[in-house]
Amino acid sequence: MNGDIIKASVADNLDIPKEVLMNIPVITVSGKDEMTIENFKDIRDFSEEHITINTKISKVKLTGTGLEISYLTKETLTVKGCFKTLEFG
Amino acid sequence: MRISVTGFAKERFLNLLSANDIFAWDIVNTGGKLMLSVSISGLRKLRPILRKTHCRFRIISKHGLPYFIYRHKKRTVFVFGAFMFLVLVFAMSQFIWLIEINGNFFLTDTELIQFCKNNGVYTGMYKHNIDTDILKTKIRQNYPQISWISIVQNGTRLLIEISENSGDTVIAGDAGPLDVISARDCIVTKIIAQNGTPAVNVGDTVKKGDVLIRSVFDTLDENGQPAPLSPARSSGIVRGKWRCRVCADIPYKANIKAFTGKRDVFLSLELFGIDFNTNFIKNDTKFKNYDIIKRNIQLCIGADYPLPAVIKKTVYAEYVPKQVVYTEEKARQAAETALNKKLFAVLPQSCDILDKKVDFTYSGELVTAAAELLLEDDIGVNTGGIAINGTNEASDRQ
Repeated sequence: MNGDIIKASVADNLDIPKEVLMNIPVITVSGKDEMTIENFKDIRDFSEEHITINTKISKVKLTGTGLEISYLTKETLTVKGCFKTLEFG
Repeated sequence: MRISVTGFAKERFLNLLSANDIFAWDIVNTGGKLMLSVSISGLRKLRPILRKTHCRFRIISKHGLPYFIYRHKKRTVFVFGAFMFLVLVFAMSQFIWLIEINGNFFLTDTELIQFCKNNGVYTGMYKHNIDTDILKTKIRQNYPQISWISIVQNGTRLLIEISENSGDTVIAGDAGPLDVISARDCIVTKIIAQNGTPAVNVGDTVKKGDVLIRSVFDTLDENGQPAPLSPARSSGIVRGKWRCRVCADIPYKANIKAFTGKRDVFLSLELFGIDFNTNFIKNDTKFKNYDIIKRNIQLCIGADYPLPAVIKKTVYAEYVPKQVVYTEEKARQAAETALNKKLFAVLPQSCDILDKKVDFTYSGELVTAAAELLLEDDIGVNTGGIAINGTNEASDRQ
């Protein structure tokens, strides 16, 4: 944890993006039907109604209908569908 | 490749996919089955992951170029045809298939294209044989009214862009080859000599060919005596105003074309300059009175690769000739429209109209619209490049 505090302080002081230094997730939501998440850890749960993704800071839970993973690589995951809620924790 | 995966640890399967850097897309979890697309190389790496997660997979469909080639590798004629297609596209792109001319107002496209043809540049020639610099020089030599020319070769298209001057020929009186002289009879309204000495003042009346700016400088030497005259190319802005009258007549009785809306359309295809009739019937309309509207559609690959194929569309629009008698008001409107059209055609594009007065005269069968105009325009013409009294350029004088 101490390491993270130091990294956050370095990132703040040197104006370096936090996601690069601390490996925290970057979540981009376009409208109601596309979400891209970078720096994710793993997928906990996946169905057409919900998807739960583990990240370094917390779990990200997305609910909706017709969810599908349109793109999956080591670091990036893109979900498409009709979104209802997005929760952290 | 589209596959379906069944088993209990489907999420773990996905995590192992991303951990092993296997790219997967369009992943859907429906009815206990995980459907996803993977590449061939990705599929080869799946076996240990499937064993680890106790999942099984089934191939649903195979798409993409590798499968397409595999399926068709025994069809030699097809492969040969595809190869020949690529060769032909490459070969055809080595020729000029369209000469496009932009910016011409007085010169026609046909005239310039014919001139290019006479000088060895024509549609269908090998594009690497074109020397644009030589063609540029030849066009400029042959058409002195072209003040600027650019020739660009884009793909299979040769784009010739030109700019024409007004085409006025000026007969110079006692002007030297470097003076600025007047292009018309007028009153000088503005004179700014950038190089040379003004020969006239604002308000002076000048005739066509009079010297406006002399190509000498009145300078004094260190003793206050006039220095020897040093000729140089004169330049400057000289504007003048003049009056002119433009008339247009419209008869009260006019023959007009009442279009019936009936049309005959004929299509033909021109390949390599040869016309093929695609209607398989004689291109002849049954209409008695008709207008012909012709349109050529050049087939292209993208914007820069015109093909040697043109679809020619000919439309015959039927009309019934009718004689109408205009009311005074209508005739007046028609005369005004005709006058404006004439003014647009007659007046130089650069000139300003300072004053315009339009009179209508009604005589017997005609309405005449006459415009009294006060115009202003640049009147200075540099004689530097124009041959005057047998001399050309400055060298003779220097």
